[in-house]
Amino acid sequence: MNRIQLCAALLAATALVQAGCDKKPVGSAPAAAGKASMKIGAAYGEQLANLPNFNGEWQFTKGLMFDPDHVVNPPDPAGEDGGFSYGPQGGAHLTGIPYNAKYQKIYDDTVAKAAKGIITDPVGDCMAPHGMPREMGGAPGPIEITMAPGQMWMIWDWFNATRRIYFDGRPHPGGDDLWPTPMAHSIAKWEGDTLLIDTIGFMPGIFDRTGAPHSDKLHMSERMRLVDPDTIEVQMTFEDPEAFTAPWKVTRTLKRRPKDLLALMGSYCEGGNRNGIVNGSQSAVLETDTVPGVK
Amino acid sequence: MLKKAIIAAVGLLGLAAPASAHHSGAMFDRSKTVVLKGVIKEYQFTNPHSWIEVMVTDKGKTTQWGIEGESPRPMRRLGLVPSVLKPGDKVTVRAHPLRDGRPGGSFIDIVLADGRTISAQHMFKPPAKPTGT
Repeated sequence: MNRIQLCAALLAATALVQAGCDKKPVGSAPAAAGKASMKIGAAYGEQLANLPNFNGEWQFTKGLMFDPDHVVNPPDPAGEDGGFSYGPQGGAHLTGIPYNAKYQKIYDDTVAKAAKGIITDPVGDCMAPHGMPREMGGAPGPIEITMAPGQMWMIWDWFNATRRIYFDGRPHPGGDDLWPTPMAHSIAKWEGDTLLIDTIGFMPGIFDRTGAPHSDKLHMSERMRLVDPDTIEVQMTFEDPEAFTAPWKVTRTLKRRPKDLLALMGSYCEGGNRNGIVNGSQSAVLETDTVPGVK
Repeated sequence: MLKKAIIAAVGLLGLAAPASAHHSGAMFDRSKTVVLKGVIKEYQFTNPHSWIEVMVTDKGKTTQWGIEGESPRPMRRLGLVPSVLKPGDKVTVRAHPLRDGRPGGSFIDIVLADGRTISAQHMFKPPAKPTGT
């Protein structure tokens, strides 16, 4: 049990807010039931005034591979004339993940298939959202961050995926009350201007399009801070007792997007009328096909 | 002022690596490029990815090509909005073709009826006057 979990457990068990766990949680005193105001009021802003300004539209640097500094990525044959990029090439893979033998074999098999053009990414066929932890560097598109009293929302353009990070002192759901969800469950606290985030409740999944797997036992710890007004650094540590033999650390950078490119509108699989991608991204449906996806 | 402009440009390049498609490009042969001169049948500006349907006549035979673009957000950022790509427009599209030989491909760039070129490369290097945002 790490410190955040310990504190969360203490809070849940005894409401010992002064047990050295945290300073006064921000925004932890909601109005009594039935006393909701018709106006937001000045207190809302006051609770946010001294928080780091994560507000805005952001994009991960260095592309779609989860740990871009430790990769093997064959060159794109299209070179500079690439058109839209499709992320890592077939056979691309992350290096340095402390997998145990079982999960290393799963990953090796996936990479070997991808090198032959056999892709098993469920997102490509619109079978699933990217989900956590893949959203934190293995998913495309911009991210909007909004600070609120006691919590922060990260909203991805793709699927409008929303990650809620609570820093109001609440614990994770305990025991049988925690069940896996695509965006998992994140609680946090402040260490100065660094947000320490603790996330559990994952579904089994992959870190990025190369197919690097993790189990539902994954535990993610993050240190998120502004390096300068336009740069967020996220230091991530992953523990996975089912898949890893040691903790895995990845640091990613979010850059604030230039204002003239502000154009978030939501990219979905739902609500469209043409996915066109079938068979694990190995084929596409054309209007002119008599049998979809078959030449 | 000039210094400011250079910094702004560097800032934009810092965002390069425009990986954005939600699926792998395994079905396209990125080592090949086809150049399609034809007439727009329909521009499907839709999620999850847009498609440009273009009729190409070659040696008396007309073939409908389906060219996959991006989701509406990046297509709009490129300025490739429905109002600039109408049925009947004469265009030239470049694409990476499907590996299996069917008439489909992945968008590289397009020369519109008015002579303007819109390229996927503008994703993070927008043209001087962005449209549609």
